[in-house]
Amino acid sequence: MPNNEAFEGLLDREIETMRILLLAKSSRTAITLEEYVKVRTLQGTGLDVIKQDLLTDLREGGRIFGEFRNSVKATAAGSINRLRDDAEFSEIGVDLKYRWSAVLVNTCSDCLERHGTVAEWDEWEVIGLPRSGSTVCRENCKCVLLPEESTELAPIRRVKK
Amino acid sequence: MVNAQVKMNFRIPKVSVQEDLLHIAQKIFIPYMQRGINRNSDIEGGSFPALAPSTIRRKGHSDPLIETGKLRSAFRFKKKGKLEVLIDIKSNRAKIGKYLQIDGTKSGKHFNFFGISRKMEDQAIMYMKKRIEKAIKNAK
Repeated sequence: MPNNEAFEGLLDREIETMRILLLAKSSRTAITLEEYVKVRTLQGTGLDVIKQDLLTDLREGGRIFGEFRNSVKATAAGSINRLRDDAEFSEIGVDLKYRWSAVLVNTCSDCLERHGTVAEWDEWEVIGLPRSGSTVCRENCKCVLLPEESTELAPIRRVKK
Repeated sequence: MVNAQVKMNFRIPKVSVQEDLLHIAQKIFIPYMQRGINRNSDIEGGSFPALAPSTIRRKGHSDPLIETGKLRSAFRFKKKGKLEVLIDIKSNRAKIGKYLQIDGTKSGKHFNFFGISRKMEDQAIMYMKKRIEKAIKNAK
């Protein structure tokens, strides 16, 4: 008797190789763009300043649109290479899961929120790697991605040598 | 004298763009890939590899990825959880899609019809710029 579950699993895996995942992670309290503009207006910020902030963030892949930009990013040599890369990564084990580990040195709110979150490497590339500009601390980020199994849950405390 | 300092400690929540990603998937990315199949061009704007004469004779035309039209209409998109949008190919064409693009045909040809090109990325960014301008305009 054929194992239907195994067959479905194989089929799913093949479908998985032909997929684009547009990922834009945000907290549960995420608001719409219109609400964002409204909140900042209520705080007394001028519309021209808000517009400039948003456009700069979109252009530079900052805190608001960083994940969006990563999500819709074309690969350097087109999608076929991206898919081949994915296949090669899975061969060498880059599909391992990594945990975001924050350090207790002026840790920004984004990094604290991410601390302990586990995802595969390609998912982190979409969400934003440490120092990639996807967090408030941008290139000053001191966080690290560690393999899931070898990571302590408590934030790492860095000390001066 | 007592000084009291009130600190503003209000953090603006993040902006959700899932609805925008749905729009981009439906109105930009999928139509772009479908147009590519219609025009015989891959997602980077280059031409698909030419078909073998025997294949052209069998199909009756030289359009590489068009035969029944099923592949072209197999692109789909859906919300995945509360944060993600997934674009993929229906299961009845996923295998052939993988064969054409990733594995390659028997003669070693690859048809790069699925993915995100630089132009697609630019169009998605342009869409988001317009969204920002519209949100600002509506707030006036």
